[in-house]
Amino acid sequence: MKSFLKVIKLHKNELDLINRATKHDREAQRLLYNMYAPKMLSVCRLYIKDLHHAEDVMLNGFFKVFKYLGSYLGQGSFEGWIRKIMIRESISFIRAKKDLVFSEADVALRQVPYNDVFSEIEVAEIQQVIDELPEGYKIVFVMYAIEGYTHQEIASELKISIGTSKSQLYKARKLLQKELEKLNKVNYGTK
Amino acid sequence: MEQNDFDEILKKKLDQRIIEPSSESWSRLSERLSKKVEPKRSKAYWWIAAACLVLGLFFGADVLKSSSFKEEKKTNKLVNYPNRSIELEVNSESQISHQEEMVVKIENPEEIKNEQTDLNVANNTKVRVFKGQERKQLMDNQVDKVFSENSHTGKLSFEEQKIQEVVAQVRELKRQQDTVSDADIDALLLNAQNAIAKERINNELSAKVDANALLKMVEGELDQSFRVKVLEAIKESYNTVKTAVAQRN
Repeated sequence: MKSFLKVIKLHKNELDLINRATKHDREAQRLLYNMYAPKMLSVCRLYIKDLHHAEDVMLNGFFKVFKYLGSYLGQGSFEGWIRKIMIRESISFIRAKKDLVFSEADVALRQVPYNDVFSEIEVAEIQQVIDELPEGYKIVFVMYAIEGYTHQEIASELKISIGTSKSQLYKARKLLQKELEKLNKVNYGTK
Repeated sequence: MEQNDFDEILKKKLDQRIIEPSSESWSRLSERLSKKVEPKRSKAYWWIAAACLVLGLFFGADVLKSSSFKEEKKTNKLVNYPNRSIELEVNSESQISHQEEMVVKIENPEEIKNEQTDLNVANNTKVRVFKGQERKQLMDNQVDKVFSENSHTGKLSFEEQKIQEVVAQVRELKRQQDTVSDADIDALLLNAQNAIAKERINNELSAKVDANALLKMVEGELDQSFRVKVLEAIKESYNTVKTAVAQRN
């Protein structure tokens, strides 16, 4: 019961912060930023290999969040709204670099380098494997598997056909599974 | 490994991940947000300033218009327009204030058939142009006014003055003696007639000398018309007195 009340209080605080941030209250904006920035940087990092670039993209995303905060009508979660902005911003960044190619050919993953802190950063390993995916594979996989987009939504967002989205996902999965299985073997082997 | 399980495992691991941004990230964002807000405010000020300017222009134009209209009322005056042989004439100050426009007399109205606008612009004055029948009526009124003024302050002719004098003298004699003899009347008439003749000669001498007039004066002929006028005046006066006495009794 206590925790339930706490959740309500937190929700009220968030709404209050959003209202204040809409009126350009810098302190409220800072609090919202501190609340969501670590999670959103993780989202951007899924798409963008370089952390500094990912942070730049995240800052661009938050700039748009605060700029268009008035257009958030409170329908759906605030986090989901920010997340979508971050994903779009990340895709725009990749498009601007002209790295986004949806190849139909099978692409072999390069050998994933292992580092000394492997046991601690399982997620980091996954991220490294994802980072080595071709941009087309990576984006479709992350959008579908991590963010929960449908193929139709991905096709619409990336302006590709649903078939391309499905094939990109299939190939991304195959490559990831292959590389992660290798990692598992190495992990078990080390243990 | 099933595809869904694979996706779920990756999702679960990646969803839990958080990456702390660099320490200066917020200050960078805050700086950008400040830059964003300031131009917006200044833009709003510009819009407000522009709106004020437009409103000011509207009100200014309105005030200017009304003040120039008032000035127009005050500055009605005589205007000459010699190049086009037009004379603008103001009847009187009071007339201007009531009519709030100028009365214009045009010697050659056909010359400015369609130039009323030009007059307004040139003189910055509201001008009313009288033509045809309207102009004639105006002129008649002016003439009537002139004659009515002369009737109040005008002088009687010398002959009329003499008639009045003779009538007054007869009345005086009647008042003093009750009866007036024919000899008295003849004497009065003769004096008056001589005075009239002298006056005529004086008037005529100022212009030119007339031998006939001199002859008439010497002969002392009475002017018949003058005699008749005096007798009629006396008769009228006598009847008036007689009626007054009868009413008193």
